[in-house]
Amino acid sequence: MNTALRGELRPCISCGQCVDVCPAGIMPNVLHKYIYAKDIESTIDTRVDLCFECGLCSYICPSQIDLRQQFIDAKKAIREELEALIEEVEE
Amino acid sequence: MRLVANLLDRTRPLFEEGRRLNFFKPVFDAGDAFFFSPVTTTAVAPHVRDPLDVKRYMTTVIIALIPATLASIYFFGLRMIPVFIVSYAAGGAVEVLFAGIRKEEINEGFLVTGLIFPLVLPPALPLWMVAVGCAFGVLIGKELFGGTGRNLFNAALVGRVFLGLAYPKAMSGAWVEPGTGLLGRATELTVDAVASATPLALAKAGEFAAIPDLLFGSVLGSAGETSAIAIILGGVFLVAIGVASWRTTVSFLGSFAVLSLVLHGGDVGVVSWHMLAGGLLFGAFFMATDPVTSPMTSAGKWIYGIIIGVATALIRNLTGYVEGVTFAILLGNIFAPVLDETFIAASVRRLREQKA
Repeated sequence: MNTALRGELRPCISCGQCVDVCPAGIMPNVLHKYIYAKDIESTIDTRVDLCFECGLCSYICPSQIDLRQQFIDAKKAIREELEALIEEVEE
Repeated sequence: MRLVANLLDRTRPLFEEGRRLNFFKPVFDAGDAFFFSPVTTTAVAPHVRDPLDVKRYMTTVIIALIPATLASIYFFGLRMIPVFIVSYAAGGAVEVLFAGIRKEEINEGFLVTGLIFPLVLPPALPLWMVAVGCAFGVLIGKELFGGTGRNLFNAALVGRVFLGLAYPKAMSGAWVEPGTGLLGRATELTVDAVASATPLALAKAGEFAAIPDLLFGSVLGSAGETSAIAIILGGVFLVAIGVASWRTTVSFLGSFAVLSLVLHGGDVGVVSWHMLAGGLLFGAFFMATDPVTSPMTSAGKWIYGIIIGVATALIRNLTGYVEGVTFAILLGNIFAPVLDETFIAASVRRLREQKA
């Protein structure tokens, strides 16, 4: 066992393996495309919050896309945006 | 190997930013990755990754195509080898050009396109037509949409349709009488093009080729599509290990069989003949299952296969065309994004009710 990336980063080829392995029942490939397009609203609608960061999608992805990290970053961005909104309302 | 490593290390600086050969950095990287596995390690968790990368994914398709490729050389002669080389060179040149302009890596998808394209062409087609067709397919069918992973249509089929519309005479008159015997035509360097009718064209006139000939492949047709056994051998392997989606293949073949049964008044013999003839099996196992151009949702794949199967049966039986697989798959490709949209929206509705 080693930590080699075992391949280079490639565009998503929509093989659907991440959907098959996802225990949360969400669609990592669809989420990835929304995040890539910076479509935050659709990212929320497709329930990025259900991701509990197990990392199976990153493990299986043939294109070596860091899906788990992308979802963590997206959730952080959404949270920050919400906090900013709440602050605005309170003031 | 040390010799190659030294050569790569010594030439590496020539391809850096600002140097003269910078444009060809993708070529250098591809060569590097071909000889040595990348040394990069994972930066974020999970730190252990599945070894199946896109390169192996595409190589699996090549392995599955080996029986059909060997069958094409057996039946239609050694001239197939220069055809493969020309196809790879033309498609590869376009791929390298775009990788250089985009400053991206060379994608492995063209390894499949370059081999699959000559297999769906008539075997005696002039080499320059193969080159033009492959370059057109990769350029218009893939690169203009943004390259691997973003193309709407199957690049090889776009090239084939282009050749069919631009040079209809050559495309319908470049068949080769299949070889027979122990070595077939695998010892012959040149082939004679004949313009006689393929089994599907003869079937329109009521004359059916023998089923054993269709199974074995000793009939006229595109280079890789004639031998049903070779295609099933590679195709079942591809579906069994999960690189091609069984949903697409099953729904394509199933819906074709059902509609053909209806159109032929329940004649099982004719329908099973049609299942083996022409490019149906090749299309069902190797063309329609392309992950990029088919829907990514499972439900979408079922509908996508049914659309292709129904369109193939309709084109074959009710139009002037004798073969409909190419058009049917491109038609299915058009529907893929709509199907995805529909089924993703349905999944989102289901997900929305789920508690966090």
